[in-house]
Amino acid sequence: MSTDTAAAHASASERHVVTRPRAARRTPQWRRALSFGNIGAVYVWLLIILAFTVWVPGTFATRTTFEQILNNNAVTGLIALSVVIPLAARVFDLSVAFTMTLSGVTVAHFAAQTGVGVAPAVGIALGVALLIGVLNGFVVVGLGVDSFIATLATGSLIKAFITMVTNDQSITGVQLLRPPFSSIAQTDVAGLTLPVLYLLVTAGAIWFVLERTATGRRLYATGFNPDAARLQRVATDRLRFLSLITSALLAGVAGIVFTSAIGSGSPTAGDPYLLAAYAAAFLGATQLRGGRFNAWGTVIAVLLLGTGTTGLSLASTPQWSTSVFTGIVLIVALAVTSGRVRVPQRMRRRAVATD
Amino acid sequence: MTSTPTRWSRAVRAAIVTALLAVSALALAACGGNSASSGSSSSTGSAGSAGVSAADKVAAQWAQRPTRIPVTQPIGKPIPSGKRIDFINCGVTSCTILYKNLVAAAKSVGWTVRQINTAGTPESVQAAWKQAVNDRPDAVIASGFPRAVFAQQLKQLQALKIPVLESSTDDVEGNGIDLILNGPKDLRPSGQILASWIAKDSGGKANTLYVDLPSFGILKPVRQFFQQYYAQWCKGCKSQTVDIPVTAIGKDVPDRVVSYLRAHPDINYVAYSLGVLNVGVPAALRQAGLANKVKTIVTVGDAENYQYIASGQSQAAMAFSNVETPWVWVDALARTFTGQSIAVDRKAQLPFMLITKNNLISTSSEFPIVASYQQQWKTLWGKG
Repeated sequence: MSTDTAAAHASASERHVVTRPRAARRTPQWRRALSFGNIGAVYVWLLIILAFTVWVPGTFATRTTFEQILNNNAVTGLIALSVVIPLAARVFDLSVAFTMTLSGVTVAHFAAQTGVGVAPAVGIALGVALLIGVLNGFVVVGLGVDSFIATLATGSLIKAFITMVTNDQSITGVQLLRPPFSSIAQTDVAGLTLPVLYLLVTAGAIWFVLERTATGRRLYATGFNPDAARLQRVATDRLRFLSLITSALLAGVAGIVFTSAIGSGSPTAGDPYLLAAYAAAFLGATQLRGGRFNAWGTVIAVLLLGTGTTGLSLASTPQWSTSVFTGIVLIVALAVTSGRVRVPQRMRRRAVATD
Repeated sequence: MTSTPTRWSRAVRAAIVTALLAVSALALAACGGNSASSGSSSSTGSAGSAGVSAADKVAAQWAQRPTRIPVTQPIGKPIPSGKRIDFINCGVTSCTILYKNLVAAAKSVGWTVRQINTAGTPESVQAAWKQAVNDRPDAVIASGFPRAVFAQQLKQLQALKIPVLESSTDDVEGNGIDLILNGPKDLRPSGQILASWIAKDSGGKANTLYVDLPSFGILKPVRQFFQQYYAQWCKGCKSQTVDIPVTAIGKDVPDRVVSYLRAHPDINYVAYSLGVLNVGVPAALRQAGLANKVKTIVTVGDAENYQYIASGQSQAAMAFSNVETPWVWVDALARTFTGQSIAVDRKAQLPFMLITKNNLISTSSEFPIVASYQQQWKTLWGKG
């Protein structure tokens, strides 16, 4: 029996939980694709865009706002995408924020203070991120520690290491403010900066792996039911190990991009991104793929939340309004999803009663 | 055929709920304004130019690098050696800088410093102060802690006659705290430096966005002094304020500032109550096409902002030195241990400086403002 069969079984099992089998077969595919249940956040997003267009007509509905939302949320998108693959395999990586910080201060140190050049500095920073991924994989898979606790612990160790090395002070240097280093994040192409391109390429790559390859199906199978997947000879441990390496590498990329964007290596760069990354990944899981963690749903979630932040700032609202907005949007999107899970059961009961 | 109406009714219900929640969120957000505007657009003629002239002089004074430390009275008695100081580290960069320089200052008079770390939570702060009480040091020094968090331990330290010194806290001396440096009363120069530079640089034609961090109580007097002097020296100028939550630092401050500037295109100056608020903003301004439309100044310059000034991405900063503060603490303790008044230390005005590209001392966040500060303090202490 092939491992793909196991993945397909797990996938079918998961669809059974989160979709409505009878109604879905009768509904045209395009209507399902555009249904509120499938892309509810997109409709919420459109509603919000409409609201801000009416509220701040002079400044919101402009190309500059479009560019601003994309440019200012690219790093959040990258760090959110970094947790999608581990979450698909039901692995939490809570160390991504610290890995992002570590790669940021590493690239800043080597680019600004050693004279090794930008490309080697980027390579070293990615190497450090890779090492963190291997460490996480060893602790989670090798030692069998629960990923939530394990990556919390490794994150704490990384944080301590960052403090020890940087003395909690930002790493600066004129080399970080000018090309070629600044070009990594500040190169502008038709109003959009390179991090937007990195975000789209990364999302496309993750989409391809998860949706178009056997590895992706095995990752989902590992996440849905690891025991069943293992019985079907899916190398679940290897996939979980690799998922942690992927998240660390993507967090490392996010750290390098962020450092290039602000022009310094901040010892606290990643801290504010952890909750935002998980909020976007979970909100994204409610979109497009019916409960599965997926790349484009995550991108939609990041841009939806980013649109709110930018719109509220353009409307000069109080400082707390962004938190209110984020909280309500998350509740709405997740409430809609929980409705999707329950409705099929009710429909099934009704169908049984009718029969 | 019942499934279609069921789906539609569910979709409609969900849409209505979503719309209501979204609209309520936006309405809630719209309830309060984030900005406060003040000032008059009408020029006040000679009064206005007189204000700008006054601002010009003040800015020029603050741009001069001080050459003298803020205390000139020698100790006059031998300073006892072997004293043990406990320093409670607040956990942020500035506290670590204070600790490093406290160690250097204490070492010059033969004292040792023990660092007690905190994790930022009230519990960990209380635990640190309890540890200091149990340690029975010769003095306790800390920075940035509100009295309410360690009130009980402060009473115990007072009963044990152990001096307690602080800095950068929104409090007043007395009831157990012997000395507060950079307290609210000492922050007048911050407001003067920001207001004088903007008034001078704009020629009295500024429309300033003041970006503040209200959760830091110690920054409140900076805003008050800025508004006071801005109104005095820049009579034809306007100002607006935007408050930033502490959770936005390092994440979406650039987005918030850029959005505000786009919504208010007549703003031509931005003043930050803390340097860290400006980190990442220059790149965001450039991407939004606003780089040459506004000039910026920050309070409490740091390495990032000095780099921005050096590269022309930001224009000015108020430099404030954590390097020199610990030397005033040691001076106060030396006077206490030799039975003298610490009135000179209470009156000491720590050095501030207006930094622009023309007089930038260093792009490090740790440079001393008075170059020969160590030698001058050691001379006062009879160790020179």
